[in-house]
Amino acid sequence: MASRILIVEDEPQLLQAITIRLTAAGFSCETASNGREALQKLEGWVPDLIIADLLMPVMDGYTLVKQLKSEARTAAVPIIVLTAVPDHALAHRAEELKGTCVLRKPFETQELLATLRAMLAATPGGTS
Amino acid sequence: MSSAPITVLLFEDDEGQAILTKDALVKEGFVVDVCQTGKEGLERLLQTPYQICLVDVQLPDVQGMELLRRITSIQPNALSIVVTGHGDEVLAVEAMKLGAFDYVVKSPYMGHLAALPIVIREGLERSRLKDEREQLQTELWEHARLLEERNAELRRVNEELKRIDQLKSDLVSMVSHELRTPLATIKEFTAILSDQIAGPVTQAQQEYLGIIRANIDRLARIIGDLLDMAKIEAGRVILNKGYTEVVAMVDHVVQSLQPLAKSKQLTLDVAIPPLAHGVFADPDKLTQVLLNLIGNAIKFTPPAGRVAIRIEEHQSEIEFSISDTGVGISADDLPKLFEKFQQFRRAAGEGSQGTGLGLAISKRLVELHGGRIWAASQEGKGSTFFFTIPVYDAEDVFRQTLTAGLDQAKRKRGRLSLIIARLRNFEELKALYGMEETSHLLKETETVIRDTVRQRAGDIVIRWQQGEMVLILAEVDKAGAQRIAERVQELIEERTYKLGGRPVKAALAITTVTYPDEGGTERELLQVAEQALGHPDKTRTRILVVDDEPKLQQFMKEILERRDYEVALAGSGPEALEQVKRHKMDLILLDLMMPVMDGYEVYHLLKENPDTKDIPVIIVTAKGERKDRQLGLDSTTYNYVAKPFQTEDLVAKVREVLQQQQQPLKAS
Repeated sequence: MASRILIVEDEPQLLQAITIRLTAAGFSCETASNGREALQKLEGWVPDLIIADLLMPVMDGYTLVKQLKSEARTAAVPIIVLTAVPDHALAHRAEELKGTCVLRKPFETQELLATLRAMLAATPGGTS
Repeated sequence: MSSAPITVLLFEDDEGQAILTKDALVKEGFVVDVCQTGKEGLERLLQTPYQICLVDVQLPDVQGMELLRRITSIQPNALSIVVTGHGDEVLAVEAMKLGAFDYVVKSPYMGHLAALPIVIREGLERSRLKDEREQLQTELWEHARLLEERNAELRRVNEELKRIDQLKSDLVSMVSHELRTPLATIKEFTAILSDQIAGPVTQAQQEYLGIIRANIDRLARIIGDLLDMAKIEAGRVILNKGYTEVVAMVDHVVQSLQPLAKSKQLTLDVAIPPLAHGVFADPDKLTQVLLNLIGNAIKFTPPAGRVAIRIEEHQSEIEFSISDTGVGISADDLPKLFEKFQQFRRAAGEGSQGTGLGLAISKRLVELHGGRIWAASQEGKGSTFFFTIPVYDAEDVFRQTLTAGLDQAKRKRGRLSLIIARLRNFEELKALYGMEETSHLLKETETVIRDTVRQRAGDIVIRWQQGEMVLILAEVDKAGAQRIAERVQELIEERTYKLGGRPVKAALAITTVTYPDEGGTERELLQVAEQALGHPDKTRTRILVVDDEPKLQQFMKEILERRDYEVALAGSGPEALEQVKRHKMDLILLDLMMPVMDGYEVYHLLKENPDTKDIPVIIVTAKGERKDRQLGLDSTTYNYVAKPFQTEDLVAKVREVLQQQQQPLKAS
């Protein structure tokens, strides 16, 4: 079964691009445009991996990641945090959390795919 | 003052006295007017200024004291000197209280007249000094007031600067975000097109997409350079300094630039002598400097030329030099080379692709490391760029950083934390694989730590000693340090290392101490940490967990490690037997139902081997699988825990069995 990815990104076109790319690579994608929307999506469903932008309106990526890591249901889900501001204080803090990885924008598609596959492979019980 | 005569108004009702007094004073060069009544004198004072009023306090019309008051009110600057009869000193003192400057006592034979000029002159001098003093006092107050005002102004400016600094930093973040986000979108869609996800692409289209992509990368680099420069100038570059291996880093940079050099048929000539030391540097930043300088050399050297990279080790620094056979730089341009936005068309024909910031950034980065950078060139022959970076002296660096960090924490009433970690199986690994192999593992764990702990406030300094590591975290409080320590431990322990071709796990004992919560000095802090870690030579009880279910394995490991047992894991029977052969075990937790070789067989093999027969075993098995009778074992040595078990049951059983084991030993 294809791994399920939730992509959280406030820039609609970038969201679209990542979705197209990951779908083409054989992943099954769901999307949300900010942290709050992501939490709503996650109410009845847990993906295999989450890709989240760091700076978003309504609820930023760091708040989202922290919340997900504090809940037993979602704590083990690996998260790739995207940021256009690599040395943003929140990027550093996100990086310190378990099961997270920070990628800077603009990223190489291959880099995103490689990170994603590595994280899925490292998750116990994860399918990749 | 001596030039203009001193003017005196004499209040004297006795005509004889008045004449005598006036004569005595005029003789001394004073100008004297006489009035016989107070009224007359006051009228004169209203018209003419006097320096001195000589007042006989016993005038007929006005009471002496009242007269003094009025003189002062009409001419505050005139000095009043009171002349009193003998025995009227009390009156004189009162007069002085009312503002008289001095007094003279009349003597019956007019002897006081001779003293009068002196008293007057002295009075004037004293008055002058008093005025001067007051003037100075006033000026002093004024200065103090101005100073206070200026201070307030400085505070305001300082606040404003802080605000601007914050704004600048926010701006850098914002610009970074606003420019990079659309770039990411463009890049992604370009990749989608060129990967033909949206449909087939012709050869020509593919080529144009390549051009787009190259320019996106170039734009990204320019944005990166601009932001780097802005950050350096705002003093916001934080170096992640640590022991940095020079040879590997230079190799890496050269490898990555090799294709570029090849495309121009350039020779990259690298000669590095064996180096005794690494440098104390941020490897990312140093790589950036090398990439810039070697990249430039390649860019500005015409095809078929040569770029040489040399390294020399000096006493306390390592000197890097990069020479090219390009067109060189004119003597006029050399001094301006490291300034911002200086583009020198060194290349023959080729337009520069840089931002004009590369060298300026390199210079700042080198200087931030405490190094120097310079260039030499001969026009037409080529250029050489040099820079130096201090070598790493572990003990020095550690002491300096810790002392400086503590000083700063004290001054700012801030925090400083240390993370102290000990590789628990250091001695064992050293014995098995040798120090050199083991140090590879230490290096690797250090890399993990560096990647995890991105210091926001200062250098990361790690000191290794006998498998023990101290990490200084400036401006990190206890909670922060513990969070980082947990993460570090997880990352290091979840990894598998290769020592002598074998997979090895690292076991870490880790603790944190924070200034000033747990100690005020370096010594105290390190002592607290030492106690928390326990003694390295104290041998801990080692338990081997044999289970084919990784989750259960992990669970038991966690439970037992929390009770300070050392835990080794085996996922199958053969692996368990292998482990037991290599390491001394105090207890084995054995699952019965395992593929390949089940627990029964393992149990028997252990008991049949004289080396392992005395190791106590606890059988861990699911309820209903219990077929202990089939084991045919002596019931007294048989121990059993049923799955699913309560944590406390498992721990209690482990303790019980270990105690049983110790008793017969003590008895014998």
